[in-house]
Amino acid sequence: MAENRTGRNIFAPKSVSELLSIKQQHPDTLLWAGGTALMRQQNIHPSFSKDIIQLSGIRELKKIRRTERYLEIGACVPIKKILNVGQHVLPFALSEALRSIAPPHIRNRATLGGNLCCRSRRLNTYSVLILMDAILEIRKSGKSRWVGLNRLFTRKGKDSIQDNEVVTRIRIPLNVWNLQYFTAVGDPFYDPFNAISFSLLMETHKGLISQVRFAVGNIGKTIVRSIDFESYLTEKKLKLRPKEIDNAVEYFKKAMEQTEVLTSFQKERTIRFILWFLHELRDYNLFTE
Amino acid sequence: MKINFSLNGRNVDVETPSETRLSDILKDNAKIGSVHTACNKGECRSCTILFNGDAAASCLIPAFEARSSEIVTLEGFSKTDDYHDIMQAFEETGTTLCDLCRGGTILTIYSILERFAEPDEGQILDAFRGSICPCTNIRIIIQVVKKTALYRRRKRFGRK
Ligand SMILES: Cc1cc2nc3c(=O)[nH]c(=O)nc-3n(C[C@H](O)[C@H](O)[C@H](O)COP(=O)(O)OP(=O)(O)OC[C@H]3O[C@@H](n4cnc5c(N)ncnc54)[C@H](O)[C@@H]3O)c2cc1C
Ligand code: FES
Ligand code: FES
Repeated sequence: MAENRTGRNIFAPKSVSELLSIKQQHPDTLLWAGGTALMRQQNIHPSFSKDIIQLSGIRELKKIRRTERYLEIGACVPIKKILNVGQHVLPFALSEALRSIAPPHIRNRATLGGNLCCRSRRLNTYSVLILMDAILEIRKSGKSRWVGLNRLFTRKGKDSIQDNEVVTRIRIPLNVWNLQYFTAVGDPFYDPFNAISFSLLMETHKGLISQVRFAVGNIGKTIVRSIDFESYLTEKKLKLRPKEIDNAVEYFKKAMEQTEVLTSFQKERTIRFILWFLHELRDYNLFTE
Repeated sequence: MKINFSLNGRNVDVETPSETRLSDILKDNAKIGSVHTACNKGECRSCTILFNGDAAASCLIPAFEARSSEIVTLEGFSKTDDYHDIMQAFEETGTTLCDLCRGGTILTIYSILERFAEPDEGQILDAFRGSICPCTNIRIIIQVVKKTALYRRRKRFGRK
């Protein structure tokens, strides 16, 4: 541990057990992964007034593991390293979401854990990983629990990570979605009223949509998803008829109105995106079955 | 806080508050001329260095993260063959870079070439995403990267 002139402590644990015991004794410390989100907002010096735990020296948090059913990524694996995982292993939409986070000289240090645990905003990978049913391992001294990413934050943005807890692993089921799409526009930190991301996962079988998941993200402390929209499209035959496209759009419009988090510009972008991809779906031979 | 790191192969000790940006330490304490700080937000690239081998924005690295690290700035990199290959490619395209972006541009090109032997346009555009230099056309940068990749392949693998 090093002490600063200001009296602030900087802890540099070398193992998860050391980290958890420091966090137990000093729950009010700030976890420092790649520091790219924290430093970007560094004019918010308050976060710097805390003691800091540096995570970069803990090798256990930098491991990637793959089984037949899932991909497991340590919370402190740099995004650059995740992108080096083979194309056939890393789900396409997740790889697009990771690639959309800043240029490579930032992704060399930025981590997946830091992207998911940013308190002020749900960032690029959040919505796509929710659609993929990702779960997180959250640990504290002597205890560990797995939590669905969809339960990490409440709708109002309050997180369920206690002060003495740390996210250690992210587990992503490897389901076969035969259509995956992710795109993000705008900067979620500096252009919050225009920035937006769209994540889409779809499974089709013999010309029918058997499952679809769609979320709008990068819009603040929540995402927009419509179960009505998704269930309306399920079992529909490809190509969709114009009337079906209109109905689907109406379902999503309702969800956007209920959540009241999108600006009118973001709503407009969302409608255009939905229209675009539902029309693209007419050419369903684009997608493998 | 006392920190120690290797800078262009030399050991450096600095006494500084733990939150000081590495870019400020390099400019103010180590008197490195190639590191500038135009935005302090990781956007402009004028503070780019090689940090433990990877290109990184030094304005986003606080002093405590720099402990025991290995840092190479343009001053150190300019002694390498890779630097001369990149400069040759710039000369062939008739382009000069201003002081503010020389370090960022050259070290970014180097980091692309370290990752991809034959980078494609998408990979180059990705690395230069968000670049705010209004004077050097990205097409020229693409040419420079491709030319340098060719020189490196010729040298390393005897390929044309
Ligand atoms: C120029 C630039 C552009 C950017 N553009 C984008 C963008 O387009 N989209 C985007 O999503 N992000 C963007 N970012 C932000 C940032 O780079 C990423 O979100 C990154 O993934 C954050 O990871 P990190 O490791 O740097 O997080 P850090 O900054 O270290 O931490 C972020 C937060 O997570 C907490 N935290 C970190 N690890 C853990 C853990 N294991 N357990 C619990 N809490 C933890 C920290 O305490 C902190 O509150 C950008 C950054 C820069 C500099
Ligand atoms: S000062 Fe602009 S990227 Fe660091
Ligand atoms: S060459 Fe430096 S800003 Fe364009």
